Amino acid sequence: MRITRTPRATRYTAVAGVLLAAAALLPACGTGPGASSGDGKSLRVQIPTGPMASAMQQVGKDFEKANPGTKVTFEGVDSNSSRGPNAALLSSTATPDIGYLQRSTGVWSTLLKNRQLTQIDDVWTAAGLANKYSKSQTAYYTTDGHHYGVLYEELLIAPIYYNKAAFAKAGIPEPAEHQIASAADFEAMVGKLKTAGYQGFGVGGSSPFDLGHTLDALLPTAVTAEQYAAMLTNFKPGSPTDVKYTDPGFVKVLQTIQDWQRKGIYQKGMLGMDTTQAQALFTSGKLAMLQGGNYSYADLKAAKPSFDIGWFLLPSLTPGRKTPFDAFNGDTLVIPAKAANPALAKKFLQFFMTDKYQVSVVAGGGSLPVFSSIRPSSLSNLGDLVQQQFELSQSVGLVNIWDSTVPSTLGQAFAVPVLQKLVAGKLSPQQAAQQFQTALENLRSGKVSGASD
Amino acid sequence: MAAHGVTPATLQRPRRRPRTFPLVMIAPAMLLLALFIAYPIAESVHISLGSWDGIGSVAYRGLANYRRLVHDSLVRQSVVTSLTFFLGTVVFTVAIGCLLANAISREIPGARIFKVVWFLPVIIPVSVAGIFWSNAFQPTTGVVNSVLGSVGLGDGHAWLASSSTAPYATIFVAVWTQTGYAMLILLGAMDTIPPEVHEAATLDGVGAAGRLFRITLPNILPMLGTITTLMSVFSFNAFGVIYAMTRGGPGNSTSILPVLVYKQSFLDQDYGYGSATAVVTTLIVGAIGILVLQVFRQRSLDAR
Repeated sequence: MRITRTPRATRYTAVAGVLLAAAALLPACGTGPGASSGDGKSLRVQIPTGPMASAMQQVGKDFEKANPGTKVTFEGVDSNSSRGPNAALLSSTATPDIGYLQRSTGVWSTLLKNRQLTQIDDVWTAAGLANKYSKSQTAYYTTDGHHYGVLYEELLIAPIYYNKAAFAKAGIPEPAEHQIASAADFEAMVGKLKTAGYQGFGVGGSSPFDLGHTLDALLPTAVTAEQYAAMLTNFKPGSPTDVKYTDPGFVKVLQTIQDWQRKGIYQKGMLGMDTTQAQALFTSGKLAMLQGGNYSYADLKAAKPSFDIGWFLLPSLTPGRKTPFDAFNGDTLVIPAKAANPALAKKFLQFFMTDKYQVSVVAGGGSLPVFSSIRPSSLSNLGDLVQQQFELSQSVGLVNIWDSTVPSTLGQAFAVPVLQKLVAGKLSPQQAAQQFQTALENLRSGKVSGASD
Repeated sequence: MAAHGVTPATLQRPRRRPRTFPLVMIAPAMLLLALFIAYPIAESVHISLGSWDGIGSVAYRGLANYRRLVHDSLVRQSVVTSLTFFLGTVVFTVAIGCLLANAISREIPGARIFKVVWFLPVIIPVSVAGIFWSNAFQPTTGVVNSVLGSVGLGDGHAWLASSSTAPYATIFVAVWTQTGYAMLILLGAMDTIPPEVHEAATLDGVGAAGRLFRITLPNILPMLGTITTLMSVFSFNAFGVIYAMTRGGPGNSTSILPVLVYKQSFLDQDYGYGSATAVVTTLIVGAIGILVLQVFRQRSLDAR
């Protein structure tokens, strides 16, 4: 049989096509800033997509009213972009005048190291922020005596929401003071819930943060306060090395996380489910408990589940100790160095960082105000459960979340894949612990970046 | 000859071909290629030779990133994952695409409708397809498990939660999104085969399978090579489907090389290392593409 021969030109074209298509992989690593110039009247503000976004529109209108002739526009940034790719935008000449980032991610350290953030000591002074934040928050946002960003909200991590009807059907009393005495009690609860026809404990295992939050919740209950404090800082070169991730406390946390998979505590397919999917399973009534944050409650309510919702904290891994709340202090607004209208941006930050907007915008969006002067009892718009969480956090204690305080090369971005492998049974708790220790040592030695900002 | 004022030397000199015009004509294309292809590639290679967090200048570190890459078990795992994904995707996409194209070409009942239906997944954005299938694969609530449950095969399979099944689920979705494209291209090639050839073979008693393997496939071999090459490149670059479905997990079990490049560059802010991985990925994709083309070229020549 005679076949039409492929013309040489066609072959060359095809080869060229292959190379060009393959080469399409490469430019993904480049960045291309645009150009902008400031008119002193228009302000572009980047905000995270979510419940607070609509409330910020009102702040914009108020600012325009207070400053005639100005125009404020808001630009949303999603959670994934804000953890990395947003750095390219914020360092370009196309940057918004005010940028959003998470203080714990590499975006902050990269921008700061490359002098891409405007110093805003004057905003801090004018808004009196040093007196309004807690000491640890002020310290966290002070670099070489100066300030480069404002923390505008606090998040409470890993309250476990539960289906009250499911608990009643399974004969489980509502947890007193939102605490569970031990891991064994928690596992027994799940057993009863499964017998009653529900899936147990929901975690968005495929999301880039949720499994890390389980570790965050258990860790402060498995190690001493001194060890926990060391774990938040010992990535810095020169800090003491006596606390290790291979120590029994950390290994116990890993062991528990793995055991819960083996014992069927998590929902079916946990590692293949993201937070949205786990949330949908919970609100549909099939899942009895869901790990979330204070920020989840608004979404849960919006889904209008057919049952009442309660909440508690994961059990302590040390008998007799209460589980503290984890706090995430990282949602930050900054003024990029290449912002077109830095003066107007400073004016806006000063305008926004007031008690008024902490209550109407931050608390109104389901997040917690960061000013220590605002008492939970004075808030009527937090939502009943979040108000309870806020109040309990004052009594059981508040610790900084581990996986978002240490650099992402040891924390969230590194930890979640390791935890996924642990849960999947590909790593033993000891092997996983060793990987964390190696990551710590790599940070301390400068082999990987992120140990200093 | 001299009487006409023409010397032998001038007679022998070949006529000079005008060179300026072609150069002017190809200049814009060359400029665009240099600007949008050559420069980014060169810049990526440059970044791969240094340390860069995305801002400012690149600190030259020689081949340090490449040395690190050789000893990085994650990279090795990603190469294996990428090759598995590539093989699974390409084999099934081309084979199924070929069978579907043959069915339409043979004008099975409802061929026109099937042509549209089978092509539909191609026009669905990969992120949408990824999210749809991610939900469909969920235990109990997902469509896939509901169907399996209805035929007695159980509805509790956690396809995306296990590192042993998640890669196959992603391959399935990649095949689903690409097969329509392969089908359409191969159908075009099949339509160029004169119907008389098939008619003659039928009269000689050759069955449908015989006609497919002895007439259709040999006649479309060059196009089969092209589509296999394209599918190879697509499968190596299938970032969208993987990221929408699993984000490379559980663990790193579905982390093909582009996903790893994304994590290294954008999440770890280690653009130098990410670029080094991208360069190596490009070389692998290029090598596979050229290899596939060569294989099909040889087959085409052998079939003559």
